[in-house]
Amino acid sequence: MTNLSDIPVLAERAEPLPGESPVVSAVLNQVMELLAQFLASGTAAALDLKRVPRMDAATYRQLKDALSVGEVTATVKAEVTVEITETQYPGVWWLTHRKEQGAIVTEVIEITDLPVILKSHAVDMRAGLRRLEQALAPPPPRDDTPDRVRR
Amino acid sequence: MNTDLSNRVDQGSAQTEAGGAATFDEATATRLLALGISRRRFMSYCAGLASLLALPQAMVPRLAQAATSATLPSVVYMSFQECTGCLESMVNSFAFGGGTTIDNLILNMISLDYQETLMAAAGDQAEDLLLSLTAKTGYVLVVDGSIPADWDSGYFISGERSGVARFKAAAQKAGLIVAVGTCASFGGLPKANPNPTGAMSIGDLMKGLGITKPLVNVSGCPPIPEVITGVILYYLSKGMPQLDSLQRPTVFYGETVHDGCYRMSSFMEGPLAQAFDDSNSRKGKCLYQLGCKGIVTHNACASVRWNQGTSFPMMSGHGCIGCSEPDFWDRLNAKNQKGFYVPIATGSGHSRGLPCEVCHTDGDDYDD
Repeated sequence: MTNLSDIPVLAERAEPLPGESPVVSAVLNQVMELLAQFLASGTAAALDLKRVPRMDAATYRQLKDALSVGEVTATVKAEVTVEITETQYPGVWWLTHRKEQGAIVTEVIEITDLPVILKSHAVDMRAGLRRLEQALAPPPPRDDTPDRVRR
Repeated sequence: MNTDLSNRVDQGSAQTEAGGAATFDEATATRLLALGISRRRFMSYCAGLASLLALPQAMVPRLAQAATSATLPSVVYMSFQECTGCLESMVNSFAFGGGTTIDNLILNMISLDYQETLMAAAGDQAEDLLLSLTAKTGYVLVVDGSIPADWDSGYFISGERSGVARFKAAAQKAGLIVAVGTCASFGGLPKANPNPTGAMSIGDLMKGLGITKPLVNVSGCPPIPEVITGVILYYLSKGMPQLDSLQRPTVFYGETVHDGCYRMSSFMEGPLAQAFDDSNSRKGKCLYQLGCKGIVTHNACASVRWNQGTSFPMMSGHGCIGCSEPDFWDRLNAKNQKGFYVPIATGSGHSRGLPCEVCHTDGDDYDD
């Protein structure tokens, strides 16, 4: 065993706090494990909140309060809206996907350094570069020669 | 047209099954750019789709890849003893809603090459098309309606062939068979007592004919639109879904309607609604005593909902009629009675150990 990362670590599941929903506790424990996993291996993960069983309104509120809001918020506006908020735990992001009318389509907790939806894609960047080049290209020389001279 | 479905499944970009959302591959991003669709908008759309299909968010790039693929799987949609309600449901789904570019893109995920109600061709022209399509291999055969088991009964003849003959010929080279609706999945209303036409489900007919192609039952009368298209999307992006004992995809049929019903809490704790529109019914109490079959009905009504996710029957104060289960029309309920408004016989309060007053504050004692 030569590296610190070779030492196996078992994350103990914390007991729910008094009054805390066991669902919230389970999600938080899972987030903790996934965050540790990301730091150890770089493997990003996502929890789809729609698939979490028994996520009623009160439990949802408790979970949102428990994760709270961190330093970064961003919004993608592309007909649909995606609200991205880093929670109080860096690397744990809360993404809310809304359809055109504003209703929530799905909500996801992503465990990663930066959610993919925020990153620019090389294909889009190349297209953007071409547009920028066109915008900065010198205008074609104007043909100011009077009609009668050209004749 | 490339009909090799297996090629569509595993061309995927690098991402892990359990991982977070991965970025789109070069081809997908280029295709979206060419179509003028915002990559981020499409990524958000696919995130919602993955959630609907109970797929991990890591599947988002693969869904996008399937949706933007230039090769389209051929779908042959054949109708037998049915009412066209299932097709009506499907054409109203989010995928076929039309209007936006993304919807059209999803519509273009499949090549719906044969559907008698939707296509312009008729008569010999339609028959020739069917024969030419089913002469190829690997297409998806969607079947709507039950089929009279006796091929010469005369109850179903189309194109001078019996239903059995038409199905048998079409199934030979299919890559996947999808039985859409309860009639195709379990016999449905045509099979209801006394079953005058000898109607049979597609699964039973396949057994009788010795056809061993993969079969997915998408039951419901009709099925939820998003469930019909969702199953096709799932197959295109991930392959065969996990099925329950009745060949239904567990993604949509793994839980009962009761499991996700907002009225469920009063089922155990009471009080129950005793009459339609009584005070308990209005307060959102359980409709079990009014014949709701949600507790024994596996479907996604309470999670996916109907009309673009607006509601499901219990939200309108009506119980589930159990339409996605076999023989729902003839189900024997309490006191050996049939009927949508007769409480189910199994799972009664006494057998669940509930206090008497939960069920018997009022009205008939069906559980005795």
